[in-house]
This record gives sequence, structure tokens and C-alpha cells, in this order.
Amino acid sequence: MLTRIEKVIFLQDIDIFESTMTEDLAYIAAITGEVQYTQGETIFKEGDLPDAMYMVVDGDVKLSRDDDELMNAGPKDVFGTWALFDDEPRVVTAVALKNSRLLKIDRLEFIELLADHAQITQGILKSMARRLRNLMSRVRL
Amino acid sequence: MRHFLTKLFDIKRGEEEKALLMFLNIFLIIASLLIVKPVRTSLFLNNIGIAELPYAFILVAISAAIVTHLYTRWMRVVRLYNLILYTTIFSIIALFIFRLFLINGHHASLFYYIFYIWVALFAAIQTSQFWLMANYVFNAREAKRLFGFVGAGAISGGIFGGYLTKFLAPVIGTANMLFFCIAFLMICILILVRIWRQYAGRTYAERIEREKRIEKRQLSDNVFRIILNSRHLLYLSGIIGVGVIVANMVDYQYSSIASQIIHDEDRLTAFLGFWLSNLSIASLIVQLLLTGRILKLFGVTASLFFLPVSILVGAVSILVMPALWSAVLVKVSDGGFKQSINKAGLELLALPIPSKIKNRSKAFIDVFVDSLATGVGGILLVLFTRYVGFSVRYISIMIIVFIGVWLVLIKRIRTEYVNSFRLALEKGSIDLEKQTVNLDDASVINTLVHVFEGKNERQILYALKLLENARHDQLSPYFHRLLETGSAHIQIQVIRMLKKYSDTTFVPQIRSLVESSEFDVKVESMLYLSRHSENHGDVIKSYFRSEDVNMRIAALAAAAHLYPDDRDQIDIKAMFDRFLEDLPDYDLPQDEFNSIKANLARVIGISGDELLLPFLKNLLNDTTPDVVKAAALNAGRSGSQEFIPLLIDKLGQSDVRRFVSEALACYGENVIPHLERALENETENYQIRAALPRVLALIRSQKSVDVLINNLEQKDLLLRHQIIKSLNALKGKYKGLKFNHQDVRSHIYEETRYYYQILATLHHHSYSGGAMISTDSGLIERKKSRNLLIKSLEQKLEINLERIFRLLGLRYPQKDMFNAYLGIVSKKSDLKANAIEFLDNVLDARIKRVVIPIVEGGSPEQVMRKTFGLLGNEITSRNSGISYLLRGNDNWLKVCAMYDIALNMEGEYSRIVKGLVNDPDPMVRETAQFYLNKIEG
Repeated sequence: MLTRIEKVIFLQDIDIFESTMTEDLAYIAAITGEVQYTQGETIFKEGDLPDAMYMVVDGDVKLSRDDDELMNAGPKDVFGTWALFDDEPRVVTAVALKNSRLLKIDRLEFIELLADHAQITQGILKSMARRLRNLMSRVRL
Repeated sequence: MRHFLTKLFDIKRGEEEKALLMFLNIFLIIASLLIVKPVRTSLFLNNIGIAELPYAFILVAISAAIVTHLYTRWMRVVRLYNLILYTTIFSIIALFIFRLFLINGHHASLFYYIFYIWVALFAAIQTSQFWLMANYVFNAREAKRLFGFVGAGAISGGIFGGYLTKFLAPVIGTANMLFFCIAFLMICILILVRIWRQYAGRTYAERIEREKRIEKRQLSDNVFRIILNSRHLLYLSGIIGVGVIVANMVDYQYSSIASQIIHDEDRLTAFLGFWLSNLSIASLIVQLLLTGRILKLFGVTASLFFLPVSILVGAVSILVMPALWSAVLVKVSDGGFKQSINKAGLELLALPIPSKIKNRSKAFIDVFVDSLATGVGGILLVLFTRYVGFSVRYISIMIIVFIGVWLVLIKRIRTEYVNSFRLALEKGSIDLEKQTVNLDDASVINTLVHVFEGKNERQILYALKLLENARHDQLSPYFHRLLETGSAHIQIQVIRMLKKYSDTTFVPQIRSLVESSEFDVKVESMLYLSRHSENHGDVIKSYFRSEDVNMRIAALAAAAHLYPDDRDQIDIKAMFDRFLEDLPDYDLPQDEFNSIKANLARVIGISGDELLLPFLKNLLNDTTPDVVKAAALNAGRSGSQEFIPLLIDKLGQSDVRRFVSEALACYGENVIPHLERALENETENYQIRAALPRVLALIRSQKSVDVLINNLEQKDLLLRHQIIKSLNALKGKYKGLKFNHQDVRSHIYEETRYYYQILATLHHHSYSGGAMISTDSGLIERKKSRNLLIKSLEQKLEINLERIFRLLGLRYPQKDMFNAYLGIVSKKSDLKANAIEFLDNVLDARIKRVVIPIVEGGSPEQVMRKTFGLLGNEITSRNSGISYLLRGNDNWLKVCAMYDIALNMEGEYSRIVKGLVNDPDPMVRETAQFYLNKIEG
């Protein structure tokens, strides 16, 4: 089992949390659970309602749409991030390619956490604004 | 040697080149002037004669007026760089031409006048341009440190030029000395190119661009008007003008006394020469050793007092005893400070003036005001000595009067100097453009009509709010349309407004709105209709008799509104009981049932009937957040004390916290003792305690302030931060509240002390690279743990700095401190420098001693030295830093530190960590155990 501070170190690498204070990441770490999936097990399916985001600690996860493999998520890779903010159904299917250990942030717990810690929302908004700015400069808007 | 020089002149790393280039530049300019000036004077005196000299003064003043007028117009269209470049090239060409004329020998008198005037203007413009450029090379803080050093370049250039002329003119001839000037000015061009490319160009472009963005107002074409519109410039002109007049009088006294006492011409020349060289050396010593330090220690405006006060002493001495020593004293006072401390102070005064204004007015002040004052000084001397009959001794009276004016101007410019920085900071952060709306203005009404015809709901609601307290019959047709097509919010706002209108044409339309699906539209419509009927109660009762549950609850709410003023007609308790009795018959879905419960809470709150309060208590304990929100708000509105403990408990629930806070605030001062007890109770739920400061911030009372200030010593930093934020909110929202300065100051000391400890820990941690050199498999983890600790310490410093400024906002104007904070954390160095200079001028000495070194930055040793050890030196190594964190109050830093020492297998902290395994914070407990497992295997 990872300690809370070890989870913080993982969370630091997620781009939407890049502007979040390390101390606030500890609150997110508190609601971050550790889950195990065996080889071939489905984590979520295309069209499922979004309920959590995941981060691979050990193992390998295949992300596919209409049976087309889109990518393989290995250690430190994150998937399903937008589930935290968006109500739209899942657009990909995630299946464990081998026995995998993942970190999971539950959407409802996350939203509740934001209500108590406005500064986390502020950090996330900063990261998103930065992303948007980068995107705009790339397309020269 | 380099280290010694940089330390002596307080030149920081990275500033050496620009400081030296600026030193060299002014050295060469002044050396040129000191070559060309004696040439000019001797040529004039030999060829025209001393009797004509006053006419030359007058011509200089007239020419200065014409030239500055043309020059300032030119400045509007030419960049500063080009201006300096073209002026220097023009000067070189002019010098060549004068040199050609000089070697030809016999000239008309006109030539000598032209040469005399040209030299005077060349001297004024060239030095003015240099100091203007210095404004873009150095920011406010650098200028304060380095203007002393740069000014020394001017003085030493003067000494060098003087000696060069003295020794070489007899050898190579007076006219050929001009070649030196030409060579010096050519070197100045090379220096200008380098300085502009490396240092000044970008700052100049940025400032002009920033000012263009913010300052939309067109600047007047007339430089007189620019100066008259700015008190800062007006006082600056006054100080320079009075300074020149006084200098003329001092010079007159000194020369007269010396010539009266020393009759032998050779001895007199030797005497004047002796003191002239001594003065230059004294000035240089003052400049090199004292100027920078005095400016730093006393500030810009205080440094301006040195020159007039010392002249005052000399002038009084002459008045009492007009002897040679008193004449020397007054001259030494003038010479010693004029080109050193006073010159640097005057140039620094121009720093906060916006570039656009400064560029246009500086040359005018330096050239025209200076020349004009010289003329005025001359006229006054002639008037008082020849016509009034003042002896040399009584000239001192005139000097004393002018010094009085001078001192008043200095005192006044201090306020303007600080205000200019304040304005510069404001403009660097926020656009202050404000709008005022005059509802009697026809164009405003037209704008409102335009908004009502549009589809922007937010704008329409805003416009309706603006009209809330006024009647505008011509807008009635638009209200009809809005009632028909607007959203529920718009309809409610229009109905509320219509209370003021006697026009009954709205009744049918509003009657149909009673059928709206929106609860509030129903209630407002019923209230409108009841107010426009003879018997208020009957209208409501008829709706209450409806079969529709939504119509009945709306009627109940409308009745609750009328109940406080109409108790004879409305029996709210009976209606309420009746409704509750009938409610089970409706068999409502859960959502609708919850909505009815929330509306029942509103009914209780609005009516204020005590008999209904027990039901409100049930609603407060409901499981549905919407019901609790409504119940909480109405519990607060009821003012009943029995709800307070329950409401405080509800603060722990994030989904209803905002409403519960508002409800508690409704109690006003009565709730404060309850809030205080809960805030001081360390066993209370943390979420509740953290919410309490926000509740206190909603209550406009001195007691709220006192409770919050008394709780500033909270060990928990997040809670402390919240308390300070709440104090800021109170100060920002309400006038007249008092914030005990002594308490606030002691907390500022506390916070700066904490800042220093964290800074020292960060410093020692960042520079202890021992563990990082190894290449074992755990290196990446160790690197991550170390980076996490460093990042966390850096973030703590940021938050701590914010707390310091929030506390400063309680002691000083909040907006100023907020803008200064934005300047300090800005990435723009000039904004940061402006902010520090502003703080340096407004903070009191005790606070300044601890705050300025922190905002200026630097290593912990530098900060400690600057604060004279006030901040202590508890953290002297990485080990003491780690121990400090482990024993401190910040749990997050404790956790980061434990994780770092665990991965680095540093067992020497076992004893401290063992004491943390039973800490109340689960994360501290977990990491302490992690450490012990690692260390003990």
C-alpha cells in the first residue's frame, strides 16, 4: 500500500494538478484509493457513466475505441481524467493487459473535496487556463 | 579588488557592467563640459568683456525657452535612443564647426555669444538626457543604491576635465582642447549603443507600451500644462529653481567676502583655486562613501534636506559673523552636497513619473527651469544689492527665506513621490477605469432601453436593479414586454419594481403570472395583486383554497410576507397547520416533497411567527441539503437563539456551509460569543473552526475584529490564514472598524520570523547535495522526496508572504498593500522595484526593518544582516532546519521532512520522530511510522 505522501508524489505528475499546492495534493491523496485489476479485467467500458480517474502504479492498461487500440497506459500514465469534471459517457474502454495496480480518484468524493478546498479548484483552473493558452498559441488564435 | 569595489558601492552581481558603463558615460560627458566651459568663458571674457556677461545670462535664458519648446515637441515623435544619438552627433558636428572658426582667429562678437549660449544648452541637455536614460537602465531600487556610484562618475569627470584643461590647454592651445570633447562624445555614442541594447531599450519599450495600454487620456501638447497638472513635477521644478537661485546667492557671498578680505590678486586666485579643487574632492568623497548609504538609510526625500540645511547653517554664520571662514563654510556646504547627495536625490525623484510625461518634461525642467532660475537669481541680486542696498551679510536673509520655501517644497514632494509610486503600482495591476451612471441623463435612459430590447439577461437584470429605487414611466412599455417574454428572474425583478407604479394596466398580465411554474414568480404576483386590491388577505386566501399544492404553498409564502404587517387579516399559524394537515393527501414525488419542505422553511422565516419555530428545527435536521439550506437561512432570519448551536454544527457540512454562515451572520453581535467559544475550542471539528472566521467576517462589528485578532495566534497555519483573510474582508467592507496596530505589528514580526526560518531551512536544504551524488537505485525516489520538500517550502514562503501583506493591509491602506504585494510577486523587475520603494516610504521604521529585507530577497545571511539579527538565527544547518520542521506546527512540512529523511536513511532524528507516531494527524502518524520502519529495518 502506498502512503499518502507517496500518492502525493504520483499526483504531482498529473498535468491538471501541476499548479495545485503540494499540501492540497495531500487532501486529494486522502481520497485516492488503490485498486487491483487482474489481466483481462475491464476497468470501464465505452459508454459507461464517468465515475473516476485512474493512474497506473504498476502494470499495463489498454485503451480502445470500437476495438481499435488507442494507447497503452503504463506506470505513471493517467487515464479518464475528464471523468472528474465532465458528465459525458466514457469514450474509450479500459482493460488491464496484465495484473495492474492503479490509483483511483472517485468523482463524487473529488467534487465534495473541491467544495471544502476552494484553493484546489483555483490550482486546477490555473492549469487548465495554461493548457488553453498553450493550445491557443499553437493554433495561433 | 572587484569584490571590494562592488561591496563598497553596493553593486550586486549582474549589475557591474551597467553601473560601470553609466559611470563612464557621465564621466565623459562632464569631462567634456569641463573642457568646453573654460574655453567658452575665457574666449568670452577676452573678446567681449565681463561687463557683457549679464547679457549673455539673459540670452541663455531666452534661448533655453526657445530650445526647450522645440526640443519637447521633437521628443513626442522621436524615441529616446534616437534623441540622445542625434543630439550627440549634432554636438560633435557643432564642436567641429566651432573648432574651425576658432583657428581662423578674428570673429564677429556674435560668434562668441553663440558659442557661449550653445555651451550652456549643450551642458544642460546632454546631462539631462543622461539622467533620463538612467531612469530606464535602473529600476527604483537599483537607482537608490547605484545613483551614488554613477554620480561619482560625474564628479570625477569634472575633476579630470578641469585638470586636463589646466595642464594641456597651455601646451596644445585652447581651441584644440575641443578635439578631446569630440573624442569623448564619440565614445559616449558607443556606450549609448551598448547600454540601450543591453539594458535600457527593453525597459523603455515595455514602460511606454504599458502606459499606452493603461493611460487612454491624451497628454497635453503644452509642457507647461503637463507640469501644472502634476504636483510632483511642479514641486520638482520648484526645488530645482529655488536651489539654483540660492546657489547663485551663495556664490555671490563667497566671492564677495573672499575678494573683500584677500586683496592680492594672486592670493585670491590661489585661494579660489584651492577651495575649488578641495570642493570637487570633498564632493567626490561624499558621493562615493555617503550618498548611497544616506539614500538607503534615510530615503530619497530625506536626503534632499542635507543641502538646504547645511547652506542654512552657513548663511546664518555669515549673518552673525561675515568672516572668511563663514564664507568658506557656506561654499563647502553648497559644493559638498549639491553634485552628490542632492543631485542623486533629485534624479531619483523623477523615477516614479510615467515615462511619457517624464520624457517630455525632464528636459524642460533641467534646461529651462535651471536657466530661468539663474536669470531670476541674477536679477534679485542686482535689485537687492544695487537698489535696496543689501550688504553681502544681509544676502543671508534672502537665502534663509528661499531655504524656507525650499524645505516646504521638499516636505510636500515627499507625499507626491509616494503617491506617484502608489499610482504606478495600481496601474501595473488593475485598470482603474470607473463608470458612473446618472439616471437623469437621457443618454443613460436610451442605453437602458437598448438593453431592455436586447436578449442579454444579465444586462437586463443589472439595468432593472439600477432602476429599482426610481420611477420611470416612459419605461412602462418595456416592462410589459419583459413580463411577457423575460425569464423568471426578470419577471420577479419587474414585479418588484412595479410596486412603485400606480398604473393598473399590469394587473391582467400579472394575474396570468400566478399560474407560472416558478414558485417565486407566483409569490411575487400574488403579493402584487393583493397590494392592488382593497382587502389584501382575501386575494391570498382565495389562492390558498386552490386544489393545486404549488398554488397553496405559494399563497402560504405570500401570506407569510404580509403577516408581519397584517396580523388582523392573516392567521399564518392556522394556514400553516392546515397545509401540513393536507400535505399527506397529495402523495408527492420525493423531489417535489423536498421542494415543499424548503418552501415551508421560508414561510416560517418570512413570517417570523415564534409558534412555527419548532417545525423549523425539524427541517434543520433534514437529510436533504436544499431543505437544510432554506431552514438554516430562515432560522437565522428568525433570530431565535436556540438554533445557534445547531447552526454552528451544520458549518461542518460543506454543501450547506455558505447558507449556514449567512444564517449565523443574521444574528449579528449576539452570535459572536458562541462563535468565539467554538473558534477557541481546539477539540472542535476542524471544518467548523475553519468556517468560523468567514462567519465573523460577515458581521459588521468591532467585536468580530477583536475576536479574530485575539485568535491570530492560532498554531494551525491554515486557520490563521483564514482569520487574517476574514480581517481583510472586514476592513475592506466596513469603515470605522479599529485594528489594534500594536497587535497587528507583533503578528507581522511573528510572520516575518517564520518566513525567515523557512527561508533558512530551504536555503540549507537546497545547498546540501550530499545524498544526491550517489547513483544507487533509490536515487530517483530520493530526488523526488527532496524536490517535494523544496517545492513545499517554497510554496509555504509564498503563502507566508501573502499573510505578511494581508497583515500589512490591516495596518496600512489595504488597496496599497495589495498592489504592493502584486508588484513584489510580479515577474517584472521594475514593478517589483517600485513596490519595494513604495513600501520603503510608507512603512514605519520598525516594520520596515523586517519586511524590506524579506521582499528584497537574498540569502538568509543577507536577510539576517539587513534585519540586524532581529529575525534570529535558529536555523544554521540542514540538520537544524529538519529538526525545526519536525518540531514545528506545520504538519505538511513535518510529513515532507520525515519522508525525505526516511529515504535518505538519516537515523539521527529517530528520537523526535518517535514522539510523532501518536500524533492526532493521521498523515503525520503514517509517515512517522514509515520513517521508523525504514530506519529500524
